[in-house]
Amino acid sequence: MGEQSDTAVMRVRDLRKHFRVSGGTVKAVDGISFDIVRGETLGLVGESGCGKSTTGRALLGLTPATSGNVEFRGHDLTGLSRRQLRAMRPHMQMIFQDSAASFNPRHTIGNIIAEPMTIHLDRDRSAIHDRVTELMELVGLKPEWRKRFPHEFSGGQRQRINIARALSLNPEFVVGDEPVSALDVSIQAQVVNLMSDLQDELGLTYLMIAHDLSMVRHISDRVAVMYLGKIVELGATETLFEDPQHPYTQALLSAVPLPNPKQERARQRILLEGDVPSPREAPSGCVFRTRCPLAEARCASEEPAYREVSPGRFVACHLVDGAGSNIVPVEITG
Amino acid sequence: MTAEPLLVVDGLVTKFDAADGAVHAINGVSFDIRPGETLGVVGESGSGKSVTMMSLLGLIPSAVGRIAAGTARYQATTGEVDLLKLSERQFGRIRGREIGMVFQDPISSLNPVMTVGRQIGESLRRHHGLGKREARARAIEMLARVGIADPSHRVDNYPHEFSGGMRQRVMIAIALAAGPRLMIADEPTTALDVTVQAQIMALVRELQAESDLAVIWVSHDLGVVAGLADRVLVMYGGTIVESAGVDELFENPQHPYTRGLLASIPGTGLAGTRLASIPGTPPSLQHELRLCPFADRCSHAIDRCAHERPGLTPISPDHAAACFWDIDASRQRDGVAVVARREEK
Repeated sequence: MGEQSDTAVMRVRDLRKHFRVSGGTVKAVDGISFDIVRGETLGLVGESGCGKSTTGRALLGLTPATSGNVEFRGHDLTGLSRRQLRAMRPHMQMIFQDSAASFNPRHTIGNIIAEPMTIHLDRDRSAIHDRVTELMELVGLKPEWRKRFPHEFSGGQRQRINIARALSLNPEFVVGDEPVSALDVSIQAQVVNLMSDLQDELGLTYLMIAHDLSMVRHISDRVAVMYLGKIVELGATETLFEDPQHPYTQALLSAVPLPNPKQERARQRILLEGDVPSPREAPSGCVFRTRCPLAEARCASEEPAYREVSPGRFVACHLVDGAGSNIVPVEITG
Repeated sequence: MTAEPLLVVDGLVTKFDAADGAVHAINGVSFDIRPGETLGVVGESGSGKSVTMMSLLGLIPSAVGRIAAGTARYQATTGEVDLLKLSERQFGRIRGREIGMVFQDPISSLNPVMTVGRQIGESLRRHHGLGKREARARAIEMLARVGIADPSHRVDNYPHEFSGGMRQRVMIAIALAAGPRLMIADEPTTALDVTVQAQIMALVRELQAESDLAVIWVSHDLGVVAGLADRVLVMYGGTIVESAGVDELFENPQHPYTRGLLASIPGTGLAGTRLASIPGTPPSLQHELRLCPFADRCSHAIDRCAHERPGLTPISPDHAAACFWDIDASRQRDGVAVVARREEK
């Protein structure tokens, strides 16, 4: 990851998070490495159960890693005690999908936004009051609404409240776990625009976890694609979307419905067989091989290395060489 | 598509009773669908797309809601029926046999303690009087048709033994087992991953190619509708604001809401630019709709929009919109029907 490391806010190395369950181990995250550079948005995509949310939680120390390193501004979070971790919390915040469930319904939104400050900062009430006013204005809420309760707000407004709360401690790094996926399209756009304005204004670094690939393409500078606990591909957004290398990325992108009927009828689709295997019974070798239209014998015996195939482009596939893809998208249905 | 319509809905009005007054969920919805056609219905939450389908299927609980007006003439195998006037007993012969249904969440629509084979066979035994053995054979056939591998073994499995995508295939098998001519699918792929969604969409296209099955596909995802529908209805505030052939709708949208909706999808504009968003929030529907439901969010609204409600008016043979304003010509459109007027005090 070479020169980028100097400006990395987050350095993740061989991160693993395994859960013991009856009858085995779920390898939710199984050895992933990447950097997140100051001021960028890294998009993390993948289908349900691929480990993207667990990755987000592990980065913030919300779930202890099984092994590996998560370095935030040079401090390895995986080795910190609870108290030390707590001291780091103000710098790293999370925005969840379901804003309603992350609020106490009996607290006013003024108190909800102020809560992190009352926990982490030693500030007097009038200073906190002023800061809440400032934050509400920042996210496009009227400060006079501070005495209202969460149920009086729409989904989009509740997500603004969530953002205001997450920003109250001036974090550097924010993880958004599907922050707009519960919202209607026209409201999604309002919240996405707000988040990108705030990034410019406050110099925030984002990890955006999402399953909506069009949205990820819009908001991310770089994108990482996960499948069954592994990153299968990572690269700059436009190159990755224009020229996906890993067969899974190709299939995933070709499955995204386009809001254009003529393109929809004309495009070639790679239809994958079946569903994602249970993470409890992850396949040997390459995790994608059971659904990969190009799988060979060695894909079952040998795990493909996650390597930089061109500057800034990482792929974990035996069939991709350094010069670029030798994979031709498979034509199936129309 | 020259055949007579299979279903003609005219002036559907559905209301719910809430603690603080009525909710005017559907405010006069009219459309039709022909055999073999796929009608996409798009809109955001609360736009009335699901309530319209529940009204047509007799699924509005009488304790909380009622159909206040309208007709829905359906060409059943036994002759024409008005779906809005059937008794619960009469609906028993329509749902499953005449109209198949698929919902978003298969796990709550499937019976967890009954094998999928029996659930598929249930409607065959009920509607076609098949015996146990024949129903099972037909269930295996249906499972094979919806792309489930090893159907003669899987027929004895329970719903929890299937993955999400497989369960939705089972739902489609149940919906189509009795051979209905219309399938109503309400957000059938919303809970599925995108690669599995692509499989289900391909399956429905295949099934339609084999028969003249008509499909009403309700979705909030304009991409899904672009990939499946022949015609599209755009709903807002319990009304249809625009209706057009799929190409026409995406290439030449006429209602300001449709334009706003299309512009707010990432990927339709230039990369790196801001997404177009529609300011404000959808209407509350606590009052009878006597003005344009979109007026207060519309950048093209004129005085008239706050006083009169425009009706869905043909623009061309393939296209209708409910808007007084012609955006491209920057002037009022001629001959737009007025559905209701706001009383002035």
